[in-house]
Amino acid sequence: MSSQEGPCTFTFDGRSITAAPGQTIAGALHQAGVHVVSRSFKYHRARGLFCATGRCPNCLCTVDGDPNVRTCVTPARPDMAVRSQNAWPGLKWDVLSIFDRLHRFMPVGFYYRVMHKPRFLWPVFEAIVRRIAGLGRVDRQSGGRRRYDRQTLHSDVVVIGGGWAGMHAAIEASRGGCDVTLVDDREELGGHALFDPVSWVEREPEFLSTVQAVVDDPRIRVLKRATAFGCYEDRLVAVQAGDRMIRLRAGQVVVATGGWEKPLVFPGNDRPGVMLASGVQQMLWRDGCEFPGDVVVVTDNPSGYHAAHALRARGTRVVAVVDHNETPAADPGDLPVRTGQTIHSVSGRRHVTSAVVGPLDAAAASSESIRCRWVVQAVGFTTASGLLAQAGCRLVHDESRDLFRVDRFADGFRAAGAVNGTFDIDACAREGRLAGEVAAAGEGGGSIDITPSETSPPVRRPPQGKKAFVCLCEDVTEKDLFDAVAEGFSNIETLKRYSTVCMGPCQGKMCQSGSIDACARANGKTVAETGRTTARPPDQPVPLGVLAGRAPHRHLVRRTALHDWHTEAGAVFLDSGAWKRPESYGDPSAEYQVVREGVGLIDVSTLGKLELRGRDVAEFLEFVYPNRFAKLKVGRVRYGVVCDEAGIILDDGTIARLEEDRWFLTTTTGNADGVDSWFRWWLATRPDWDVRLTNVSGATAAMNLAGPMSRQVLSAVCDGDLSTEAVPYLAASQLTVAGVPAIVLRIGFVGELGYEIHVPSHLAEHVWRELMAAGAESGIRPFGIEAQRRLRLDKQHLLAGQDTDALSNPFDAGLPWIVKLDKPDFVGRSALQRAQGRERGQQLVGFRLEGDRVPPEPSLVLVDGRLEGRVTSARYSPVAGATVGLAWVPAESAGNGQQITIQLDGQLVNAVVQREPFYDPEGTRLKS
Amino acid sequence: MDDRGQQGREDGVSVMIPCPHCERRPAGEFHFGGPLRDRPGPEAPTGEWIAYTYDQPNLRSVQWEWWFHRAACRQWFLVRRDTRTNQVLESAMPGEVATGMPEGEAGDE
Repeated sequence: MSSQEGPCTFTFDGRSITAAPGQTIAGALHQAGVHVVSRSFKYHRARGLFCATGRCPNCLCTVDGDPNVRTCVTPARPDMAVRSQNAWPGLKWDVLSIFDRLHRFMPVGFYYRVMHKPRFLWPVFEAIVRRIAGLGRVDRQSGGRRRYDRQTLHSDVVVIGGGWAGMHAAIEASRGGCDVTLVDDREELGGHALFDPVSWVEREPEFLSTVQAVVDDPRIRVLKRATAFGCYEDRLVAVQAGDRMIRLRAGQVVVATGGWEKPLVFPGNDRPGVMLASGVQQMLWRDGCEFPGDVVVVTDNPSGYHAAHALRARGTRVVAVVDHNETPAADPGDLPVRTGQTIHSVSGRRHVTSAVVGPLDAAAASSESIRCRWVVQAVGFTTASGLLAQAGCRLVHDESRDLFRVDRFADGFRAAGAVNGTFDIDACAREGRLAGEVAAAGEGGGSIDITPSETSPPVRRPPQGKKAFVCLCEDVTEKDLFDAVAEGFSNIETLKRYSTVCMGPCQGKMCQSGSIDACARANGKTVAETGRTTARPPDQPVPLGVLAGRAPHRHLVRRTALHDWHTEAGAVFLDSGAWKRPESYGDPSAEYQVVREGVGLIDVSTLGKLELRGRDVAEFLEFVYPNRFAKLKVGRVRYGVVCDEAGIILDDGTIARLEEDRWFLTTTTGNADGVDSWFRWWLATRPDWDVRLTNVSGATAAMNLAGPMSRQVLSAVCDGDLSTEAVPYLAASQLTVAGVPAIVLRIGFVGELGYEIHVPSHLAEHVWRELMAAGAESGIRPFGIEAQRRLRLDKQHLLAGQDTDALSNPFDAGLPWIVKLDKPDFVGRSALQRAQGRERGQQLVGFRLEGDRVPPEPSLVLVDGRLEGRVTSARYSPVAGATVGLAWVPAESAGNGQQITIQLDGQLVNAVVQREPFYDPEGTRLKS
Repeated sequence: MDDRGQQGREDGVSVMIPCPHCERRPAGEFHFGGPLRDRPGPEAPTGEWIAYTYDQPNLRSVQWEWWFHRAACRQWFLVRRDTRTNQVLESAMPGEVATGMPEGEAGDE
């Protein structure tokens, strides 16, 4: 059963505990006599193992720093440090159990009413409530060390639940030729069968061979210790497997998740020693535990008798089997059976000491108190139908069996076994095989008939008194629910939200039937009329780390073709979207200076680059840009701004006409994909246009050779005539640079004579090295983004996205000349027509701030103490001898020479608006 | 319109979108482009333009809508989807579908 060899030792609240091989933490604690495992959420009542199947909140402990570990399904490992939760100073004597005496003053929802008056005190109360109520604490230290991963899997058929029905479904689906994934949350396949040997004693060979058939089938992938916690659209099943989240995409899904035993609601039903029969069975057979002392079994079906027999075989004295039915539900043998009776309450604080049993109608006089240490209940199952409900299957209440089951499946879904309300072993196998066959045929879904069974509905127990807990997670009693209904929260959904029933760690697995039952009775309705709350993921609690998961493939890093060169040259890199770009090579000021005075070279490969060919490119460009392109001559390049239909600037870049029907466009680094998508959309709306768009962003590298000496450097590696007559400002030339065919754009983002050289990526390093070599004598230096930002700011060249935002149109951004409203139609024309001449709040202007203090972005622009604008870019400019920048300022302050006030380090400083470039306003250097 | 920050958007929805070029792929690979609509003519009244620009119809109906397969073929195409159930019914190439009123009345169930 376990890979472990011998016993191991771990600690529980510092005490040393020895676990037998294969034992769970909880099993070892039980065997060591630790019967109080936790303190309850609100009243700090002592709680012991209850469901022992990984559902209820009672066994939650902090294990090696991880809070809320379900110790009843977690195998013990050597040297684990297990700590109890929500108890101080300790489990045995918890100071806050005083709340249990004060419960009269703490009705359901009391903190909503009491602690919000006066309102300002709520944060104080909240801090206290959070400390004393609730579950474990996150250990930030150990939390940070954990690594969570994610994985994507696909399968023709996914079977959720590896019990008898699920195994048969998997085998049958595989036989039908499908790849099958079987998801099971236990250590071993087999489900309930593993823990009910009485029913299975004659079928052991059949059971073992079925498990073997699943394990041996190469088409069945078994995910053990894996919890399916969500079913999303198009059959995406979310699975937690330890620290890994699996996104499992299924062609068809068979849900065979079984059921959960329903707890009874009676006073003291949460006391340590009260347990579910299925949990007791697990602890007997899986953990080898014993239950010394006397036991009272309460049941209405054969499984209670099985549990009684099993307990007796391990030395427990069965003092009573209390059967709701008038005739025993199974052959009682010599068990002391009391038919037609039920349990009314138990006594004992830290452990059960006695139970009161008597007739169902609760005539107190005829009740009898029985001394016992254990109360085991086996009164039927709730279907584990949460995943089916999430998937969109319709669940109806089956009156005859008192459970919810599917009558209409969502597309691609089927269910089999106990989750269908089928408990008979042979029927489960039949259903499993049928579901597997249907799934293999790809025919899941559809409606099924629910024929009422012959059996009469189970006997209902009458309502109970105080301290009868419906919800162990949140300490909600039956009385709380009745009170809440009386207050008007009568709908099951509002009742849930108000009382928090079903909202704790068990997510309704323990309390759903009890709360629906209580709600129905309080309203005088049937269970079917009451309905159930909406099922949402996660079906079982999931650590947030698993949801957040590491996904390395999603953290793309893009490097340009020149990255290695930059690294060797000592570049300091900067993240620019997914790109790594050199911010500088160590000395941005020197890099700035060399471009102004000599020559520099910058890698601009991250620019988006689009090539457009076709007869209608000019018409297309006229349509997607507000400015004109139809008459752009071959061999020329023009600046353009892309606007959306609201006239807002999306991006800017250059548009070059290389040949009559061949154009080359650049976009900003960040918007490369966006502009590509935007253009493709407009092209898709006009299939009649002859325009072919090719994104050559990755295929093409680009570098900008800039500075007064750039012409002579380029001449050294380029045969063509580079004189201003041959290659004037705004020329788009196709030249051979260092032997490589290149598109050379004479543009000047940095305000100097310069050439933007586009070459195939695989030849970029060669071209770059040749240019660096050719410029060696001229003192060429590579420059990074920081120097480029300073250089462009001298010229007041804006950066789309940095200096503009989602409200910026070309008129306000200082680019009114770019909008040609006399064109008949273009994207954004209507909005720009409306915007033209309208007095807008803010304008983008240059400003000059004397001194060398640089306001960080986005420093505020204030007018009479009011926020009226912001600084979008600012740097110290050596050529201006002052700090310069761009800022959005009120229209009335936007005139040349006007003063604006900027908040800098908490002080107000005055700057002057300058509406022309700080450097070379006539552009003579650009055009030289 | 831009793709910034969308690299990792595979978790939002789990529906599969039938790309005409790449077949069924998870919706996280795609970019939603809104319902198929007629763009007003250049001389349309201002009110019509304002409605087109700023009002998203967001109808409860079966509608044709634009999808862009950003993570693969980078092509726009049209998907017919029931916005009430989020059921994806079919896909088509641009030009194969005429714009017009969506099927089914807004608000019907």
